[in-house]
Amino acid sequence: MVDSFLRELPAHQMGLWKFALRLTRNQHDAEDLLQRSYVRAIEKRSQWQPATSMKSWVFAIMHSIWVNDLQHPRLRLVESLEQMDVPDWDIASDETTHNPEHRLHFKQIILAVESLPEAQRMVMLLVGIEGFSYQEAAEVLSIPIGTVMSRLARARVAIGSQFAHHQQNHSSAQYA
Amino acid sequence: MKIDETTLLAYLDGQLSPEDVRQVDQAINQDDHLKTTLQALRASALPYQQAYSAQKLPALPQALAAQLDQAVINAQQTQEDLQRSTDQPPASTRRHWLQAAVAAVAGLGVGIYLQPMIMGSATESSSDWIVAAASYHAMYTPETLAGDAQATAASLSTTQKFAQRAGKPVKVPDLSGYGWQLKRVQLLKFREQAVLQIAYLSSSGLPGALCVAHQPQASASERVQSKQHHGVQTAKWRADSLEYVWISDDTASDNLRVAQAISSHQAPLISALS
Repeated sequence: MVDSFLRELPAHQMGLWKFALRLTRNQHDAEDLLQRSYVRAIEKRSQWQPATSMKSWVFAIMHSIWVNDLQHPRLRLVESLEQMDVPDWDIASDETTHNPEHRLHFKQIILAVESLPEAQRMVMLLVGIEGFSYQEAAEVLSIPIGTVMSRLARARVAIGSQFAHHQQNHSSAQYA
Repeated sequence: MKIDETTLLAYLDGQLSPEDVRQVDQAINQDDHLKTTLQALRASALPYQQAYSAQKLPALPQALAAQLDQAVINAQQTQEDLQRSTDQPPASTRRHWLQAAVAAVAGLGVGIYLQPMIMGSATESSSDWIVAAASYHAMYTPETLAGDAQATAASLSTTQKFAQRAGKPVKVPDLSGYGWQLKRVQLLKFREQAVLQIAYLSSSGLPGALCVAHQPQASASERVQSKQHHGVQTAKWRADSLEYVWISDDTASDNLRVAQAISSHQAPLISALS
């Protein structure tokens, strides 16, 4: 009988890929991070408690590998100078974002989050984008829940200060 | 009760007790700073998830997805083998799985990156990229550069592309008179900076490399300075906003001698006719 961890892990593959891209902001590092996280999660799967969230457990592994093993600057081989350029992950043009004003607003939101200090950006990614609870975010980041809340509040104040003048024109209800 | 931005966020989220809400209401009315902070928090209620969902992220490469799926299949297979074979010792099984896991990720090609190991050992006098280059070089063995040398035209072409991007002339030294044969030229990346690596193999089988990075903020020239990083010898210098380092497993004095020959232009240059 195959354990439930191995059955469920592939369901988190895309979520881990997106989180890796957002952690590293770089496709090549994201590929490296994803494969290391996968292998380590499988190796350590006996430590996972089935009653707890597998998503937060594997995200915690990925965050730990990023912070402890990969975040330090290093040399790597590139195939061409074009690979030197930072990828521009644009906003897709679909029915949600066909309005150029909405697309611009989304870009401004992403820019505001990405401009935060790294500790605050990380909490915003987990709570604001991934939808983790404060407790789950605390587990992923290995920090107290109070620290998650204070970082989130500081991040929100910083973002809100930039968006205060937008509020009349762009309520979140427009996108619901 | 201390009222700060965390309290105000809990207030907006409806997480406070009625008594705490009353205290916050009272404080907001008396404190303009708290009022401004509350306004910012209200303005920060934005469609974050929708904005990020609309982002066009790179697709997960199919080859990587297949490797990850294979790692799961290998683990499942190992587990089933274990259940069938009750006399198999756990250590052996673990080794079997680890081998399978390593095999599963070993063929990823461009997805495999080299570890820097530069954390505590960087020194104030050396650029970070040079320490990283030494770390990269420390993993070279004679086998890394074994086999046929890259075609001269390809080596010069890569060098030319790097030079064009830097806006500075960069040449490939011919070090055969010093016992080093050119093997290949390749581009590396350190943070968002391009690094040109010109790799050589000595007649005794030692790997060596001349690495170059464009440093537009550092126009002053610097003479050759030697240092050991990660067990390999480095000799760096700077000229015309380009920083160079000659790295090898040679002795410190021989490493310095080659670096001085390159930096003083005593070593001839490789041309398209070589």
